[in-house]
Amino acid sequence: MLEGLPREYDVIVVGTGMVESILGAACARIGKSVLHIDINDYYGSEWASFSLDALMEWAQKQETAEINIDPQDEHEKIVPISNPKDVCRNVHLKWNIPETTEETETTEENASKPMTLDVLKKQSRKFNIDLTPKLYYASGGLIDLLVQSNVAKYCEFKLVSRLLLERNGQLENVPSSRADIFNSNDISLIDKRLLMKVIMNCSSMSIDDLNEDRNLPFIDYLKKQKLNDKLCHLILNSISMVDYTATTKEGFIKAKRYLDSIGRYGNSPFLFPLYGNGEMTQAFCRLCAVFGGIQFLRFPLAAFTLNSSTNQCTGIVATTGERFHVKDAVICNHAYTKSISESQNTIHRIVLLTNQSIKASEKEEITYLRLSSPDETGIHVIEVGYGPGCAPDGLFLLYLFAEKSQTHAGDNTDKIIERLLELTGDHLTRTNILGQFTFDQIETIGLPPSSIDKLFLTHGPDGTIDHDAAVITARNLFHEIYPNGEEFLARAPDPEDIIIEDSSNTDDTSTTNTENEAL
Amino acid sequence: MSVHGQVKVRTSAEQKAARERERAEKLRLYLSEYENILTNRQTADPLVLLKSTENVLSEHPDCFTLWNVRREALLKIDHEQEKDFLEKELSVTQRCLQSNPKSYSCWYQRQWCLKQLREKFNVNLYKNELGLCKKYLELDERNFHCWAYRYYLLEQLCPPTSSTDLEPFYDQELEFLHATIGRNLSNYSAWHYRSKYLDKLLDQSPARRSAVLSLEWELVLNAVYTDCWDQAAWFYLRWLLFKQLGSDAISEDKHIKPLEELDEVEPRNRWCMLALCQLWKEKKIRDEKRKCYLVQLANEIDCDRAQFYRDQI
Repeated sequence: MLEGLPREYDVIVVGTGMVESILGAACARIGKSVLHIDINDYYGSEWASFSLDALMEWAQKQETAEINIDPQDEHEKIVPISNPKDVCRNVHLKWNIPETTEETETTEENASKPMTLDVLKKQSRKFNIDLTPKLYYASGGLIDLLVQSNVAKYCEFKLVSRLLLERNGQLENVPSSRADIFNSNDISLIDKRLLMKVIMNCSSMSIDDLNEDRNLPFIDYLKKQKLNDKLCHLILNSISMVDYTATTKEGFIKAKRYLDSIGRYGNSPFLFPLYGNGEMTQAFCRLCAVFGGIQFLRFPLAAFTLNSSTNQCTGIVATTGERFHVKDAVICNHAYTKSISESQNTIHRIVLLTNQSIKASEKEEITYLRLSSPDETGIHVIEVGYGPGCAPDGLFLLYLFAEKSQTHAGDNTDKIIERLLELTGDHLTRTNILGQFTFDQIETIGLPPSSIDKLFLTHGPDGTIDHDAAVITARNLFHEIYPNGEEFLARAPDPEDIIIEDSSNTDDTSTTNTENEAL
Repeated sequence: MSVHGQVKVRTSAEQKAARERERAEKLRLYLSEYENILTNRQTADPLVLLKSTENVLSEHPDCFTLWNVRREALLKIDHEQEKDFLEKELSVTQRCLQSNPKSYSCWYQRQWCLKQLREKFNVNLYKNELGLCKKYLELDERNFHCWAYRYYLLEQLCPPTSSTDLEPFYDQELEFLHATIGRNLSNYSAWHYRSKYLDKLLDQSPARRSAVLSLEWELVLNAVYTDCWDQAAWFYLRWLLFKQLGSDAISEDKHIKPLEELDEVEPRNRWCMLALCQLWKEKKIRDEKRKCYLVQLANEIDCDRAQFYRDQI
């Protein structure tokens, strides 16, 4: 299976998570030879999206056998990999619907066919369930990178059309633009002015203008601007999206990003990818392949190889004993090394499959809601349905996760679900929840870098709503590996500007042919 | 990169050269066609002229002369076929508008066609035109050509024929304008046309005057509180107070006080200050403060218009 695969590369990337995929693309882009592998049979690692069948399969975790590889000579040291799936723990998939139609009693009440698991499984391919759901700020790091590198043409997005907040025990729309505030009926005139003033300041002032205020807690700064509790909560929770403990500087920067993002692609600051977040890692892998990178899934990886005298990583070795060497770097996720046992922090993720949206609407919506209070850390709630191609018509995926990881392993799934159900009232109740999928992701961001030369460790997702951490890490690691001013993900050329020349044909006005379709 | 051949990317110098070549070619074609049409203007068959001008105009919609040629040709067509050709003309202009939605010539041509069609007007055409306006306004709500065209339609071609229909007609239009303003407070056209329709409504139904103006005041106050720096709403506010309500109807409590409160929250806002100065003058109150504000405006806040303020003192 591995015959024919070249043995020498500039870079080997292990894992197809977000950071690895961006890096693989960036290295291939500057002309380096890249081997990009994953032991899974799917792209994305912890950032993957699954159909319903694939998710159920993923939930059954298999143990991988320990492979022992012997060093080939006295200079080589073998470092076996850990099972990267260990980074996800306590996986539970619970259904509240019967397996098949025979199990249901046909009474008068359920004369219409009730939903069963095999009906859902038949529509498995219409599901795209994210392990790591995230949103994209229109003026944020990842969108800018997608546009700058032109990887954007491999993916499509929809606007997150509905932004909600908790008010008076109910879910209401977040007024964040001038038009929203103008049209709102429950903000007084003076409050409208004060709110607009703070919003305009967040947009136009720079951080330096804040002076001494910058270290003040954001909530105190907002109160200083004469905003009442309700409006303070609106800005803190739904525009800045920070906790009550945040400083003014933090709140300001995030508010600015939110406000700058409104209007770039529509009346909402966030985008959501069509077919789920898993598409993103694939888009970068595709760019890597276009520039000559080799993508290899289901790679039988056994270990890393090191030069014992120089403590340098020299490459990888497959279970078959075949070795692949690198010149510049081996990039891999912490999950492949034993270091994840050092992390105590977990992100608890909940996915609910429902047959009713959290709030009624006349049209298809992608909804985002942030729940928080003075003594509670923010909880992100994202709802997607048929619109972005993530669920069959009439069904919804409801993602819930806390922004900050927890150190204790307590399970607060029911508490979080209750919190939400209190706000949805009669519209969405427990009977609307058809299935519940929960798991813990070990947070690998913040783990120390490797002590082995030429081995660069990337991290998995965090609990934030955006991808900034991944983009920043990828950029930093790239500049560490190639510190001589190489450009990080320069714009890929447009097809019209590419001239295909055969060695026999030197006519340089001949341009497009079917090769360009691949680009 | 590619397995088969060498892939070369055009450098920016090469890109520029390629663009220049394309441009030159386009220009040459255009000039030759243009010459051709002009030489045959008087002699050629109108249908031929229509065909040839159509091709050129779809790429270059702003050529006035060619539109003139088309109008001449259309007028020469015999009476029976005229209607079909005029309707077809509308779809020609639509294609041209796609390349430039703000082309004076295209919008004028549409108006001209509808004028010619006047006697043979039909309702579907009217609905179609309004729909087109709506689409272009969605693309760019500040396209003043489109606004003007919309009003031409409503005023000239399809005002309600019976006077009982007038009131709901005006109300409907005011609703549309309200929604437009709701989407974007700065839409000066929307405020402007709102003032026109408000006038008409009040002429038609004088009994509703105080109720309507009361609601209108709330609307504009909401607008200036939400965004006190946008001039569109302030112009409307001043029109409403001085031209509509009139000096006697201006109440200190209802009109002046909210603006004074706004001034407290948002000091040094030239629009608010000016509005207050004018109101105080009308009601002959707060003379000292008024003078003080005008001096401030002239000397510090809006020095470009210093003389305007000084004249008011």
